[in-house]
Amino acid sequence: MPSSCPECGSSNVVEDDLYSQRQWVCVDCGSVVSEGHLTTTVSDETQGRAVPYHASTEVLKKPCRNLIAGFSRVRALCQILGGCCVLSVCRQCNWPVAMGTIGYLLGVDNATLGTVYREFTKALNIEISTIGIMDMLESFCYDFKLGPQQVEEVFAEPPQRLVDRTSALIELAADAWIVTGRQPLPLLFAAVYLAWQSLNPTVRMKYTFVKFCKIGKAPEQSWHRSRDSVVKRLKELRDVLCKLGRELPWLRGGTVEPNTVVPLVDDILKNHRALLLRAVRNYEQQLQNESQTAQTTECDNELSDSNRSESHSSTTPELMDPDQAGCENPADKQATDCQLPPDHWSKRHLFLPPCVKNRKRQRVDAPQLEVTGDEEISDSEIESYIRSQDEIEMYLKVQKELKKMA
Amino acid sequence: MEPSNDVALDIIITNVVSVFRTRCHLNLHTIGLEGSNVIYKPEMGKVLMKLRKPRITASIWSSGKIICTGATSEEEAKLGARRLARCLQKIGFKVRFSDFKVVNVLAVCSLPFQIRLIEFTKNNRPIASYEPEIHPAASYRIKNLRSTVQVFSTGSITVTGPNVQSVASAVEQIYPLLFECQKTRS
Repeated sequence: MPSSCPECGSSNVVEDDLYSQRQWVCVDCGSVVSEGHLTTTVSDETQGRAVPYHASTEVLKKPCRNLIAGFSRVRALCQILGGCCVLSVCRQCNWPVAMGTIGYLLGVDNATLGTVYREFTKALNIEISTIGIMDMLESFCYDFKLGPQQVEEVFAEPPQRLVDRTSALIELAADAWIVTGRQPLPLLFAAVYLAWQSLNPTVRMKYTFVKFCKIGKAPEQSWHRSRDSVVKRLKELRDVLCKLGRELPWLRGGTVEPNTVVPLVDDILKNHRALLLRAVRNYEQQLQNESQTAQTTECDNELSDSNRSESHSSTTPELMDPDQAGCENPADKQATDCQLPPDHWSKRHLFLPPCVKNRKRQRVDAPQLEVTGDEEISDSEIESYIRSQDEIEMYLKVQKELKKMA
Repeated sequence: MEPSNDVALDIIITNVVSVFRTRCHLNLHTIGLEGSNVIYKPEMGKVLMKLRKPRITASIWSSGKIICTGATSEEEAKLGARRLARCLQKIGFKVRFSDFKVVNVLAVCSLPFQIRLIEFTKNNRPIASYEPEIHPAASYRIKNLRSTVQVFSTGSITVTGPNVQSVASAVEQIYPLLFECQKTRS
């Protein structure tokens, strides 16, 4: 018989039966000290009982994996929404901020930002003016820290000079189909780098694009992801400059290579209109010669083709567009030309966009049938789409074999 | 289709999407087994069937709804759909060709001039939208025709609409606007 209560320590324990079950109850705190055959106390029972999963603190402290992923996604979306707000306000106040800038500051790719931005403007019914690459140019150039106090004398460049040279380069690029349809920021990087190099070529030629960004203290996230695009734009820009550089009269037809064209950029840009006219005139001359020789030597095509391409390469190979230089057979060229309407502007231009240079071959289907939609469908034709019984059996057999092997 | 002046534009229809119903349940497993030129995708709950003669790909669902893509004209789409229904009939299903409808037509057209997209967007502000960093083309939505025209600076345009007539009208409608903003060489 218990004499003291384990809960409160008093010794005032009486026997008080409940529903014909013997119980010893403490008078002071009211806890049941022991009950019939049971001899555990309340505190024993609460501590000894196994803890159910839902009551464990483990669940409260650690959210499940999906919840964590969901939270991070919502957080990212909120960040992107904030970026879109900033972008739309800047655009409405005529401050040309590029989407790529907001993208690299948030650590988000342009595509996601673009989707959210499109929905955002649709939902809020905001009309925003489009900005072109030339609008972004000035603030972009001023961002580079190339002042005389910030870098060495040979690297320093007053921002206005950089802006002027870069805008001339970008205008040239726009004529040569490098600007349209491409992301503006990689092109801006490439143009600023070439402009900086060309303003002091003797010293700056040996500095790579990455070194230039480090000199100008451009933040690494801004150009790191688009490094490949910048390299492609640099190559395209240099090729265009080479095409024009070859027309410089004082070079007398000497070779102009992409990696040595930068010192000539100054002269090329000063006279770019005249050079372009010369290049176009030479190109049209080339086309005329080609069409004449194609007409006169119709019979022995193969031999004359190889001869012609050799003679072309010896005189002025650089003026031909890359696809024509590689294409030996004039019939091939005519085939691709046929897919464009006869008066298409690309027939007369020297610089062509990639979509016109690499024309997709159109699906050559059966000739346009007069389809009424009510023709008779022959049985044999339909049979070709249905497996025969033997084929079905073979197919099931093969499936079984494959399952056995797997 | 020719616009008002004497310029002949070649509008090439590249895709016609149509739907129809077979009014009966289709056992996809049977179709996958007994049909040739079929791809059964159980994870997506559909069967892809490709026809050769009108070059058409059809997505077949077990509810009996079928979507056909790849035709180059409305009549060809109907012919292909009927051929497909006939094929399913032969396999053994009680197919009734009903509710045929052309849902989407995609066409491309090559204009003989280049286009200044920023000027075009400025002139047609709420209807046209152009975001060079998202997509290289300016998009122009014609609400009454329920068509969208995507304009590229090279002069190529792609038009999508609910039927061939609306596509043709869309090209007619947009041609003068594009003609104004063309890039003439100096």
